[in-house]
Amino acid sequence: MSAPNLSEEELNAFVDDQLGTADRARVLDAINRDEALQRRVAEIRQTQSLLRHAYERPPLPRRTAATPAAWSQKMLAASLLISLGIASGWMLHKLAGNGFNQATQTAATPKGVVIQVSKNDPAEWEVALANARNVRKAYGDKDITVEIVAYGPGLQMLRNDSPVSAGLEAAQQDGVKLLACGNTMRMTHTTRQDLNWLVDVVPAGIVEILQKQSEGYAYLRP
Amino acid sequence: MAQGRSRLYRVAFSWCHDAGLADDLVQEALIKGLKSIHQLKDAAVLDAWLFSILNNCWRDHFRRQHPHADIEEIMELPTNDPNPEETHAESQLVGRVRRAVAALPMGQRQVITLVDLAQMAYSETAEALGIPVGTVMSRLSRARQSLRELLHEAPVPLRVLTPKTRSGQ
Repeated sequence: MSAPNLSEEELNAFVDDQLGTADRARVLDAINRDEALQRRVAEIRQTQSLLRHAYERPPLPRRTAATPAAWSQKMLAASLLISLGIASGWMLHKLAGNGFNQATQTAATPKGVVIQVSKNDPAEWEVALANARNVRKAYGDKDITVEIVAYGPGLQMLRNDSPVSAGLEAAQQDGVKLLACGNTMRMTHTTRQDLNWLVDVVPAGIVEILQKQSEGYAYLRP
Repeated sequence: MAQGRSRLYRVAFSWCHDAGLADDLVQEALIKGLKSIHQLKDAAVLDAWLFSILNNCWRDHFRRQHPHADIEEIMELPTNDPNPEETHAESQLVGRVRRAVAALPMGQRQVITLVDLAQMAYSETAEALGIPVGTVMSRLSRARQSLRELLHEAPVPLRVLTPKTRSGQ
Protein backbone atom coordinates (compact mmCIF):
# COMPACT_ATOMS: atom_id res chain seq x y z
CA MET A 1 0.00 0.00 0.00
CA SER A 2 1.35 3.40 -0.81
CA ALA A 3 1.20 6.42 1.44
CA PRO A 4 0.17 9.34 -0.75
CA ASN A 5 0.61 11.98 1.96
CA LEU A 6 4.17 11.13 2.78
CA SER A 7 6.78 13.29 1.08
CA GLU A 8 10.40 12.41 0.49
CA GLU A 9 11.31 15.32 2.77
CA GLU A 10 9.24 13.89 5.58
CA LEU A 11 10.87 10.50 5.19
CA ASN A 12 14.30 12.12 5.45
CA ALA A 13 13.21 14.17 8.44
CA PHE A 14 11.99 10.97 10.08
CA VAL A 15 15.40 9.34 9.63
CA ASP A 16 17.08 12.45 11.01
CA ASP A 17 14.71 12.61 13.96
CA GLN A 18 13.60 16.09 12.99
CA LEU A 19 9.84 15.58 13.15
CA GLY A 20 7.50 16.67 15.91
CA THR A 21 5.81 13.98 17.98
CA ALA A 22 2.57 13.93 15.99
CA ASP A 23 4.28 13.86 12.58
CA ARG A 24 6.70 11.27 13.77
CA ALA A 25 3.91 8.96 14.86
CA ARG A 26 2.09 9.45 11.57
CA VAL A 27 5.19 8.76 9.48
CA LEU A 28 6.17 5.78 11.60
CA ASP A 29 2.71 4.34 11.18
CA ALA A 30 2.90 4.75 7.41
CA ILE A 31 6.35 3.13 7.32
CA ASN A 32 5.17 0.21 9.41
CA ARG A 33 2.44 -0.52 6.92
CA ASP A 34 4.45 -0.12 3.73
CA GLU A 35 7.40 -2.23 2.67
CA ALA A 36 8.46 0.17 -0.05
CA LEU A 37 8.77 2.93 2.54
CA GLN A 38 10.78 0.63 4.77
CA ARG A 39 13.20 0.07 1.92
CA ARG A 40 13.42 3.80 1.32
CA VAL A 41 14.23 4.44 4.98
CA ALA A 42 16.90 1.75 4.86
CA GLU A 43 18.36 3.37 1.72
CA ILE A 44 18.49 6.78 3.34
CA ARG A 45 20.24 5.30 6.37
CA GLN A 46 22.68 3.48 4.15
CA THR A 47 23.53 6.63 2.19
CA GLN A 48 23.99 8.45 5.47
CA SER A 49 26.38 5.89 6.90
CA LEU A 50 28.36 5.70 3.65
CA LEU A 51 28.77 9.46 3.75
CA ARG A 52 29.88 9.45 7.37
CA HIS A 53 32.29 6.65 6.68
CA ALA A 54 33.79 8.50 3.71
CA TYR A 55 34.71 11.50 5.83
CA GLU A 56 35.57 9.79 9.04
CA ARG A 57 39.25 10.28 8.39
CA PRO A 58 39.77 13.09 5.92
CA PRO A 59 43.34 13.53 4.69
CA LEU A 60 45.38 15.85 6.84
CA PRO A 61 46.77 19.02 5.32
CA ARG A 62 50.43 18.99 4.44
CA ARG A 63 51.71 22.01 6.25
CA THR A 64 54.84 23.89 5.53
CA ALA A 65 56.83 24.97 8.58
CA ALA A 66 54.68 27.46 10.39
CA THR A 67 55.95 30.98 10.88
CA PRO A 68 55.71 32.32 14.42
CA ALA A 69 52.82 34.52 13.31
CA ALA A 70 50.93 31.61 11.83
CA TRP A 71 51.61 29.64 14.95
CA SER A 72 50.20 32.27 17.23
CA GLN A 73 47.14 32.49 15.01
CA LYS A 74 46.77 28.80 15.42
CA MET A 75 46.89 29.14 19.17
CA LEU A 76 44.35 31.92 19.01
CA ALA A 77 42.05 29.80 16.93
CA ALA A 78 42.50 26.83 19.22
CA SER A 79 41.58 28.91 22.22
CA LEU A 80 38.44 30.09 20.52
CA LEU A 81 37.43 26.60 19.69
CA ILE A 82 37.97 25.40 23.17
CA SER A 83 36.21 28.30 24.73
CA LEU A 84 33.29 28.03 22.38
CA GLY A 85 32.54 24.67 23.65
CA ILE A 86 32.43 22.62 20.58
CA ALA A 87 35.54 20.80 21.63
CA SER A 88 33.83 17.95 23.25
CA GLY A 89 33.33 14.92 25.22
CA TRP A 90 36.39 13.03 24.22
CA MET A 91 38.63 15.24 26.28
CA LEU A 92 36.44 14.69 29.24
CA HIS A 93 36.42 10.98 28.74
CA LYS A 94 40.16 11.00 28.56
CA LEU A 95 40.41 12.95 31.76
CA ALA A 96 37.83 10.84 33.49
CA GLY A 97 39.00 7.41 32.56
CA ASN A 98 42.21 5.57 31.92
CA GLY A 99 43.17 7.98 29.21
CA PHE A 100 43.86 10.54 31.88
CA ASN A 101 47.62 10.09 31.89
CA GLN A 102 47.74 9.99 28.15
CA ALA A 103 45.93 13.29 27.96
CA THR A 104 48.19 14.96 30.46
CA GLN A 105 51.38 13.63 28.94
CA THR A 106 50.76 15.32 25.65
CA ALA A 107 49.78 18.65 27.20
CA ALA A 108 51.23 20.61 30.06
CA THR A 109 49.28 20.40 33.30
CA PRO A 110 46.54 22.96 32.95
CA LYS A 111 46.24 25.73 35.44
CA GLY A 112 42.71 24.69 35.97
CA VAL A 113 39.78 23.01 34.36
CA VAL A 114 36.54 24.70 33.41
CA ILE A 115 33.56 22.48 32.71
CA GLN A 116 30.60 23.72 30.73
CA VAL A 117 27.05 22.69 31.60
CA SER A 118 24.56 24.15 29.14
CA LYS A 119 21.88 21.48 28.91
CA ASN A 120 18.94 20.72 31.13
CA ASP A 121 19.98 17.11 31.46
CA PRO A 122 20.51 15.60 34.94
CA ALA A 123 22.43 12.67 33.47
CA GLU A 124 24.90 15.11 31.99
CA TRP A 125 25.12 17.00 35.28
CA GLU A 126 26.07 13.78 37.04
CA VAL A 127 28.84 13.24 34.52
CA ALA A 128 30.04 16.83 34.93
CA LEU A 129 30.13 16.49 38.72
CA ALA A 130 31.81 13.09 38.66
CA ASN A 131 34.43 14.38 36.26
CA ALA A 132 35.06 17.56 38.19
CA ARG A 133 35.69 15.51 41.32
CA ASN A 134 37.84 13.02 39.45
CA VAL A 135 40.02 15.79 38.08
CA ARG A 136 40.45 17.22 41.56
CA LYS A 137 41.40 13.81 42.90
CA ALA A 138 43.63 12.90 39.98
CA TYR A 139 45.75 15.98 40.39
CA GLY A 140 45.86 15.38 44.14
CA ASP A 141 48.20 17.77 45.81
CA LYS A 142 48.64 20.00 42.78
CA ASP A 143 46.73 23.19 43.22
CA ILE A 144 44.42 22.97 40.28
CA THR A 145 41.18 24.92 40.10
CA VAL A 146 38.19 23.04 38.83
CA GLU A 147 35.02 24.93 38.10
CA ILE A 148 31.66 24.09 36.64
CA VAL A 149 30.00 26.91 34.74
CA ALA A 150 26.26 26.46 34.21
CA TYR A 151 24.39 28.63 31.77
CA GLY A 152 21.31 28.55 29.55
CA PRO A 153 19.16 25.49 30.22
CA GLY A 154 22.08 24.10 32.22
CA LEU A 155 21.43 26.60 34.98
CA GLN A 156 18.74 24.25 36.29
CA MET A 157 21.58 22.13 37.64
CA LEU A 158 22.39 24.71 40.30
CA ARG A 159 18.87 25.38 41.52
CA ASN A 160 17.73 24.61 45.04
CA ASP A 161 15.44 21.91 43.77
CA SER A 162 18.09 20.33 41.53
CA PRO A 163 18.06 16.52 41.53
CA VAL A 164 21.84 16.58 41.90
CA SER A 165 21.95 18.77 45.03
CA ALA A 166 23.82 16.11 47.00
CA GLY A 167 26.37 15.85 44.20
CA LEU A 168 26.82 19.62 44.19
CA GLU A 169 27.64 19.56 47.87
CA ALA A 170 30.05 16.66 47.53
CA ALA A 171 31.81 18.36 44.64
CA GLN A 172 32.05 21.61 46.53
CA GLN A 173 33.55 19.69 49.46
CA ASP A 174 36.20 18.41 47.07
CA GLY A 175 37.01 21.97 46.11
CA VAL A 176 35.04 22.24 42.89
CA LYS A 177 33.71 25.74 42.22
CA LEU A 178 30.10 26.00 41.09
CA LEU A 179 29.37 29.06 38.97
CA ALA A 180 26.05 30.29 37.66
CA CYS A 181 25.65 32.56 34.64
CA GLY A 182 24.27 35.94 35.68
CA ASN A 183 22.86 36.62 32.22
CA THR A 184 20.85 33.42 32.26
CA MET A 185 19.60 34.26 35.76
CA ARG A 186 18.42 37.64 34.59
CA MET A 187 16.75 36.27 31.50
CA THR A 188 14.98 33.48 33.39
CA HIS A 189 14.13 35.68 36.39
CA THR A 190 16.15 33.43 38.64
CA THR A 191 17.29 35.00 41.90
CA ARG A 192 20.25 34.09 44.06
CA GLN A 193 17.79 32.53 46.50
CA ASP A 194 16.58 30.13 43.83
CA LEU A 195 20.06 28.68 43.57
CA ASN A 196 21.94 26.30 45.82
CA TRP A 197 23.71 28.32 48.52
CA LEU A 198 27.10 26.90 47.49
CA VAL A 199 26.88 28.53 44.09
CA ASP A 200 28.73 31.68 43.04
CA VAL A 201 27.43 33.95 40.31
CA VAL A 202 29.55 35.20 37.40
CA PRO A 203 28.33 37.97 35.07
CA ALA A 204 28.22 35.76 31.96
CA GLY A 205 28.89 32.04 31.71
CA ILE A 206 30.35 32.05 28.24
CA VAL A 207 32.67 34.94 29.05
CA GLU A 208 33.84 33.12 32.16
CA ILE A 209 34.69 30.07 30.07
CA LEU A 210 36.49 32.22 27.52
CA GLN A 211 38.38 34.08 30.20
CA LYS A 212 39.51 30.97 32.02
CA GLN A 213 40.58 29.44 28.77
CA SER A 214 42.74 32.43 27.98
CA GLU A 215 44.32 32.03 31.41
CA GLY A 216 45.39 28.51 30.52
CA TYR A 217 42.52 26.44 31.85
CA ALA A 218 41.53 23.28 30.07
CA TYR A 219 37.99 23.30 28.82
CA LEU A 220 35.72 20.30 29.14
CA ARG A 221 32.18 19.50 28.26
CA PRO A 222 30.42 16.34 29.37
CA MET B 1 30.31 14.15 19.67
CA ALA B 2 33.15 14.98 17.38
CA GLN B 3 36.03 17.07 18.53
CA GLY B 4 35.65 20.72 17.61
CA ARG B 5 38.35 21.57 15.15
CA SER B 6 38.28 18.22 13.44
CA ARG B 7 34.53 18.53 13.08
CA LEU B 8 34.89 21.86 11.31
CA TYR B 9 37.74 20.47 9.26
CA ARG B 10 35.77 17.41 8.21
CA VAL B 11 32.93 19.59 6.94
CA ALA B 12 35.25 22.07 5.25
CA PHE B 13 37.02 19.19 3.53
CA SER B 14 33.71 17.75 2.35
CA TRP B 15 32.91 21.11 0.77
CA CYS B 16 36.16 21.68 -1.07
CA HIS B 17 37.94 18.29 -1.10
CA ASP B 18 41.26 20.02 -0.68
CA ALA B 19 43.04 19.34 2.59
CA GLY B 20 45.19 22.48 2.55
CA LEU B 21 42.30 24.72 1.64
CA ALA B 22 40.01 23.10 4.23
CA ASP B 23 42.62 23.72 6.90
CA ASP B 24 42.97 27.36 5.85
CA LEU B 25 39.21 27.86 5.86
CA VAL B 26 38.85 26.41 9.35
CA GLN B 27 41.69 28.57 10.58
CA GLU B 28 40.20 31.67 9.04
CA ALA B 29 36.75 30.86 10.44
CA LEU B 30 38.11 30.38 13.94
CA ILE B 31 40.02 33.64 13.86
CA LYS B 32 36.99 35.53 12.56
CA GLY B 33 34.92 33.85 15.24
CA LEU B 34 37.27 34.95 17.97
CA LYS B 35 37.21 38.52 16.71
CA SER B 36 33.43 38.64 16.64
CA ILE B 37 32.65 36.55 19.71
CA HIS B 38 31.00 39.60 21.28
CA GLN B 39 28.34 39.45 18.57
CA LEU B 40 27.24 36.05 19.71
CA LYS B 41 24.10 36.68 21.71
CA ASP B 42 22.98 33.18 22.45
CA ALA B 43 25.44 30.48 23.38
CA ALA B 44 22.92 27.83 22.37
CA VAL B 45 23.48 28.64 18.71
CA LEU B 46 27.29 28.38 18.86
CA ASP B 47 27.45 25.55 16.38
CA ALA B 48 25.29 27.20 13.77
CA TRP B 49 27.18 30.44 14.31
CA LEU B 50 30.59 28.89 13.80
CA PHE B 51 29.50 26.95 10.74
CA SER B 52 27.94 30.09 9.29
CA ILE B 53 31.33 31.80 9.62
CA LEU B 54 32.95 28.82 7.93
CA ASN B 55 30.33 29.08 5.19
CA ASN B 56 31.14 32.77 4.69
CA CYS B 57 34.86 32.03 4.48
CA TRP B 58 34.20 29.32 1.93
CA ARG B 59 31.97 31.59 -0.13
CA ASP B 60 34.48 34.41 -0.04
CA HIS B 61 37.17 32.05 -1.20
CA PHE B 62 34.93 30.69 -3.89
CA ARG B 63 34.02 34.11 -5.22
CA ARG B 64 37.67 35.02 -5.47
CA GLN B 65 38.30 31.88 -7.50
CA HIS B 66 35.14 31.92 -9.58
CA PRO B 67 33.75 35.46 -9.68
CA HIS B 68 30.95 34.59 -12.09
CA ALA B 69 29.80 31.21 -10.88
CA ASP B 70 26.62 30.53 -8.93
CA ILE B 71 27.86 28.88 -5.80
CA GLU B 72 24.60 27.06 -5.09
CA GLU B 73 24.77 25.24 -8.37
CA ILE B 74 28.48 24.76 -8.81
CA MET B 75 29.91 21.28 -8.93
CA GLU B 76 33.55 20.87 -8.25
CA LEU B 77 35.79 17.93 -8.60
CA PRO B 78 38.34 16.97 -6.01
CA THR B 79 41.57 18.69 -6.92
CA ASN B 80 43.89 17.15 -4.39
CA ASP B 81 46.28 14.47 -5.50
CA PRO B 82 45.04 10.94 -5.39
CA ASN B 83 45.40 9.50 -1.96
CA PRO B 84 47.94 6.65 -2.02
CA GLU B 85 45.62 4.74 0.28
CA GLU B 86 43.06 4.58 -2.49
CA THR B 87 44.69 1.47 -3.81
CA HIS B 88 42.88 -0.42 -1.07
CA ALA B 89 39.36 -1.55 -1.79
CA GLU B 90 38.13 0.10 1.38
CA SER B 91 39.58 3.42 0.32
CA GLN B 92 38.20 3.02 -3.16
CA LEU B 93 34.76 3.11 -1.64
CA VAL B 94 35.70 6.19 0.34
CA GLY B 95 37.00 7.80 -2.84
CA ARG B 96 33.82 6.98 -4.72
CA VAL B 97 31.63 8.51 -2.07
CA ARG B 98 33.77 11.64 -1.91
CA ARG B 99 33.64 12.04 -5.68
CA ALA B 100 29.88 11.61 -5.57
CA VAL B 101 29.66 14.30 -2.90
CA ALA B 102 31.91 16.56 -4.96
CA ALA B 103 29.54 16.11 -7.88
CA LEU B 104 26.58 17.45 -5.91
CA PRO B 105 25.65 21.10 -6.45
CA MET B 106 27.20 23.15 -3.67
CA GLY B 107 23.85 24.08 -2.12
CA GLN B 108 22.99 20.40 -1.67
CA ARG B 109 26.52 19.43 -0.68
CA GLN B 110 26.60 21.91 2.17
CA VAL B 111 23.25 20.82 3.53
CA ILE B 112 23.94 17.09 3.46
CA THR B 113 27.36 17.46 5.04
CA LEU B 114 26.11 19.70 7.83
CA VAL B 115 23.28 17.30 8.60
CA ASP B 116 25.15 14.03 8.22
CA LEU B 117 28.74 14.90 9.11
CA ALA B 118 28.32 17.75 11.59
CA GLN B 119 25.06 16.12 12.78
CA MET B 120 23.29 19.42 13.03
CA ALA B 121 19.53 19.84 13.34
CA TYR B 122 17.68 21.17 10.30
CA SER B 123 17.08 24.46 12.08
CA GLU B 124 20.80 24.84 12.87
CA THR B 125 21.73 23.97 9.30
CA ALA B 126 19.26 26.57 8.04
CA GLU B 127 20.77 29.15 10.34
CA ALA B 128 24.35 28.28 9.40
CA LEU B 129 23.63 28.60 5.68
CA GLY B 130 21.14 31.46 5.93
CA ILE B 131 18.38 29.55 4.14
CA PRO B 132 14.86 28.53 5.19
CA VAL B 133 14.30 25.14 6.86
CA GLY B 134 12.11 24.12 3.92
CA THR B 135 15.07 24.63 1.59
CA VAL B 136 17.25 22.55 3.90
CA MET B 137 14.71 19.74 3.65
CA SER B 138 14.32 19.83 -0.10
CA ARG B 139 18.06 20.11 -0.73
CA LEU B 140 18.80 17.30 1.68
CA SER B 141 16.23 15.07 0.09
CA ARG B 142 17.60 15.76 -3.39
CA ALA B 143 21.20 15.40 -2.24
CA ARG B 144 20.60 11.96 -0.76
CA GLN B 145 18.70 10.89 -3.83
CA SER B 146 21.49 12.03 -6.16
CA LEU B 147 24.15 10.51 -3.98
CA ARG B 148 22.39 7.19 -4.07
CA GLU B 149 22.11 7.35 -7.85
CA LEU B 150 25.72 8.44 -8.28
CA LEU B 151 26.91 5.60 -6.10
CA HIS B 152 24.94 3.07 -8.06
CA GLU B 153 26.60 4.12 -11.27
CA ALA B 154 29.76 2.38 -12.38
CA PRO B 155 32.83 3.78 -10.61
CA VAL B 156 34.77 6.33 -12.59
CA PRO B 157 38.56 6.18 -12.41
CA LEU B 158 39.86 8.97 -10.23
CA ARG B 159 42.39 10.33 -12.69
CA VAL B 160 39.77 11.00 -15.31
CA LEU B 161 37.97 13.17 -12.83
CA THR B 162 41.02 14.94 -11.50
CA PRO B 163 41.63 18.10 -13.49
CA LYS B 164 44.94 18.90 -11.84
CA THR B 165 47.80 16.54 -12.47
CA ARG B 166 51.30 16.85 -11.16
CA SER B 167 53.63 19.00 -13.18
CA GLY B 168 55.73 16.96 -15.56
CA GLN B 169 52.97 14.47 -16.22
